[in-house]
Parts: sequence; C-alpha cells; structure tokens
Amino acid sequence: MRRKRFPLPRIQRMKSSLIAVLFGLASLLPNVAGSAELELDSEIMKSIEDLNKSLSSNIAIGAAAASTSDTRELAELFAQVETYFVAKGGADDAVELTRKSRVLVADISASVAKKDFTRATDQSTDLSRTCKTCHTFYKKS
Amino acid sequence: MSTNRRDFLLKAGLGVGGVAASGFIPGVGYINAATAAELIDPLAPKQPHFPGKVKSVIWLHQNGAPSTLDLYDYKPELFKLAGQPVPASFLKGIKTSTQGGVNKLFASNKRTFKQHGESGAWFSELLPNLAQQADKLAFIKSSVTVGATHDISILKLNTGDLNPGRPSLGAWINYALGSLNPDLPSYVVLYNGEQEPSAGSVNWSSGFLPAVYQGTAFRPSDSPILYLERPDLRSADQQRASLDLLKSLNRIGGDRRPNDTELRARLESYELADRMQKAAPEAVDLSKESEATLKLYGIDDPTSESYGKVLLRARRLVERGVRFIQVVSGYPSNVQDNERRSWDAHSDLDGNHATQARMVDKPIAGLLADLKTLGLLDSTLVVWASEFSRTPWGESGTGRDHNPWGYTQWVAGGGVKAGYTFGETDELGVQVADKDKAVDTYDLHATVLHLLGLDHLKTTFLNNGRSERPTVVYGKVVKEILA
Repeated sequence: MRRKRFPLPRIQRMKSSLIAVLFGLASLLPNVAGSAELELDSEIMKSIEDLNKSLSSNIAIGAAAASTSDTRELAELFAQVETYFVAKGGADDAVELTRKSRVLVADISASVAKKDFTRATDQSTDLSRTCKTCHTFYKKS
Repeated sequence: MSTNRRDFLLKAGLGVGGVAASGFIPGVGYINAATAAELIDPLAPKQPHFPGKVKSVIWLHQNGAPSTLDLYDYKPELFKLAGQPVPASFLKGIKTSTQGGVNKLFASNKRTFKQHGESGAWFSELLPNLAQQADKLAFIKSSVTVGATHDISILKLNTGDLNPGRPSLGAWINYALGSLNPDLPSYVVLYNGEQEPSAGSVNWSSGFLPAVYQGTAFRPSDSPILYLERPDLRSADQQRASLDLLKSLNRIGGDRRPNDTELRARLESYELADRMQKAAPEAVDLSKESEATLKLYGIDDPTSESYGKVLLRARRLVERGVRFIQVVSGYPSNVQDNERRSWDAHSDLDGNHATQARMVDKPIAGLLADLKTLGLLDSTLVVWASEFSRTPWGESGTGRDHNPWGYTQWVAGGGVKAGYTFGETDELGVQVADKDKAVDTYDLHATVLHLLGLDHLKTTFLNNGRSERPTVVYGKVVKEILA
C-alpha cells in the first residue's frame, strides 16, 4: 500500500531528518565492501512491486487520480531500472523487458486518462507478467 | 494519535471494522459495513459475471509432486541421454539450487509409454485406467510455479501466494457464487490417510475474506466432521430448543458486532451443523452404492480403496450441489513406508510412484467415467494439480528432485477442449519450451474461475483499502483449452 504523507509531530520530524542526513552521508562514502559490480537498489524493486499492487487496486476501484499518480512513479522507477541494466551490459533481455514495461505503463496511463479501466486492467496484468518474466532471469534468490 | 486524524478516519468511514467488512460481491456490487451487516445469508447463491460452463469443481491436489515425466510427458531424448550430465543449454534461465543439485539424467528402465485414445495422448504404464479416459482430458504441459518447500508451493497452488493470509481458490468461489445447498458446506476438503494434510488448513482458509467462506475438512471416516453427531441421550426436540435459545442469545451479541466475520461464521456454523447432522453423513455414506460403482472407483483394491472412497464421496457432494471439493491425495491404508506416503520421490521413484499411481489411477478414471455416465461431467470441472513436479535428472540414484520450471497438469469436464494438449516442455522436460505459453498458478485459477462464470479481474474484495482479487496482480485465462 502506498504511504500517505501526514504532517509529523516535531520530534518525529527531527528523527526523520537525522535519518535522512545519515543516509545521505552514507551514500557519499566509498563502497567499503569493495564490490566494483553495479548493484540495483532492492528498494527500487520493492517500490515497483508495491506501486504495481497499488496500481492494480486503484484501477479495479476506478480511482483515476491515484492510478495516474502510480503510473507516474512507476515510469520514473522503470527508467532507473533501464539505466541500470544498460550500464550493466550483457542483459539484453532485461533491457528489452524494462522497455516493454515502460511502454505498458504509458499505455495504462493513456487508458486511465480515457477512463477505460477494463483495458487498463488487462494492461496492468500484462505489466505484472512482464515483471515476473524478468524476475525469472534476474531476481536474486 | 491526534484528534484531527481520528476525526478524519471517522468521517472518511475508514474505521477498522468498516474496511474489513467492505467489499464487492458479484451481482450485488460494492457493499459497505452497514449493508454487509444487513445481508442475512452470506452464503446465499449469487449470480456469476456471465453464464458459467460448470457448477462444481473437483480439485485433485496430488500431494508431494508426482513426476509428470513418468506419467504423461514422454521424452524419448531423456531415455537416450540417461546417465549423462544435463547439457548446459537446458539449464539456461533457471536457478537449480534444489536440494540434490543437478545430477545425471535419470530414466527408469521400467518406464514404458503408449499413446491412447483418438487424441493420441501419451501415458506411461503407471496409469493404465486413466489412459482409457485420455479423450476427456485437456493437458497443460507448460505449467510453471515457484519452487520452494512443499508447504510453501502448496500454499501458492491453493492461494496464489507464498505467504499465509490470502484466501484459497475455493474460498473465492464460495464468496463469489455462494452455496447451492444450505444443508452442506459449499466448500469441502477431502483427504485419504490418517491425518489432515500436513500442509494444513491454511490451504483452505478464507484469508482476508469473511471466515464463513473457508473450506470444511471432512474426515475419511463415516462421521465426516468431529462431534457432529447428536449424543444418544439428547432428543432432537431438546437439541432444537437448545439451539433456538442459543440463537436468540447469540443474536443479541452478534447485533452489537455486525462487522465481526469470525463471530458471524461461528453463529452460522451452529445452524449449519444442525442441518449437517443429517445431510453430511448421508452425503458421504457409500452403503447404497452398487458393487459395480465401488469397483469402478477401485474400492475393491486395498491400494486404491481409501482414495476411491474419497472420490466417490466427491461425486456424491457434486450431486448435492457442493461448489468446490478440494481433494488432497494421501496414502493407502496398507502402506507403512513413510517414503510412500506422498508422491515426493527423492529416492526409489519406481516404488513410490507404483504405489501412488495405483492409489489414484482407478479412482480418477472411475470418477471421470461415472460423472460422464450420470450426465454430470458437463457441469463439473475436474482438475489434476500439483505444487510442482520432478526433475529429469536423478537424485539419490533412483529418485528425482523438485521441478517448478515445466510440468503437466490437466483439466476435464464442462467447457474444456477435451483431448487437447496445450504447451510443452523442452526435449528433456527441464523447463517450458516456450515461455509465452507458460501457465502459472494464477492462470490456472483464472481459467477455473472463468469456467464457473467468474471474471477473475472483477472478482474483487476490498481489504484494508486495497482491492484484492484471486489472481493477485497476475492471471490470464488459458483460452486455448476452452471448448
């Protein structure tokens, strides 16, 4: 389920800011594990999975605005995934499947804009199948 | 929590109970907490999305994962290359971190295959009776799933998820279509063996759906439900008076908690139990079945007797309008060896499958023939399903490991293209030959729902603000196997 953003109490805001600063600093540090291999942030894939479920639900209940918001976020995340696999090299299948996913996300967005939720549901199911196909090859077990 | 947020939740109607009881019912539409409480009978028959081809489903779960390479999926190359390593090209794209590793290809020297019926479907010598029903079956030879432990993959087979919490397929059907017989549970689980299936009742759970839609397990004995029988010292009138008093007291408590589906299910169960005292034992009583029928189901053979009785009960439940009958294969009463108590043949595949196949062969063939004779096959769907299958490479020298990458399941009955085969595995039976034809659990579930007149995309329930469906976010009807 997507996180809703509510104003946080001051103490929680301070705690959140501190965590954000720590994460920011951590990202500036060299990779202490010494791995030169490009890593795909697992949080991105988790976010895509969550957004996909949210999108599927929003389409089912005919929530156009929420569906559009989901597709917008998914489009951004799939762009990052494509960048990763292109840079990684030797992953033509993944690049192709990610591009297919981006096209499907755009198609879903167009269907939602036309309030054609039946078509959007089919396209959303195709998107899920594409994710699944890609995971068969690339998901770490 | 701030007052503002509490107010917001209350005004938005998003109280915990409200969300839990909200949902969509086919033929009724979206319901909220208030109308849910007003529904008198959550199991009342409901209209499907479109006219269904079948009314009932018999879901034959072959527990332990049979090697479909040794039953239906004939691979001449496997026999030719037996004893050699698996060529690397066959392992591309799959993760083989299974228990036994990838050993050399294995083929039993006892195995023989023949084509049967007009369809020319392949069967091994292990299923001589089922082979006679070849033209009633539609094979899906490109089944795939997630390979994990048996219990986890069984959960996926029944609920579509690897974690507990989602409703089983039978529960979705119960929720979407309701009951055709108010005197019996409309979702029944049958098994042969001394205990309930080890994977547990989570496989017939209603998950986040109201609890009234969960499956009811029938024990193999003459009294299918524990403590169902009325004690000798209590008369029927005494029991009725007692139940009436209980009902009126329960109603007082129930009215105060209209969104408590567990309580609602419990209250329903008292009345259902009262009606079932007569209906359930009669439904599973085989004493009036003819000798010929008993023989047809293999009840005259100690190895197939217990499974045959279970399948004959399944037919009797179909006759009485039970919607979904989930049959979990167990083991014959004459088997002491733990290794032969399911299809899980990590070693001695020949011995294990000889026992398990003999246990199910005649009963399933008998069930199909009997349904046909009685005119019930057109309105019933029979499904052979398993959590995964077994590898073409050997394990322990004489067994096979788990294979989720490509295996055979089949369906038979109303709306099915009988005598048809969809999809195939590669030449060794390692994985599906064409990934675009892969049929995952969700696709099988979508197809079963379709044959019952339900669109899996429209069979939804609002749980914690999210619209859920039986196929999670997947699912595609396998149209190729539909008549």
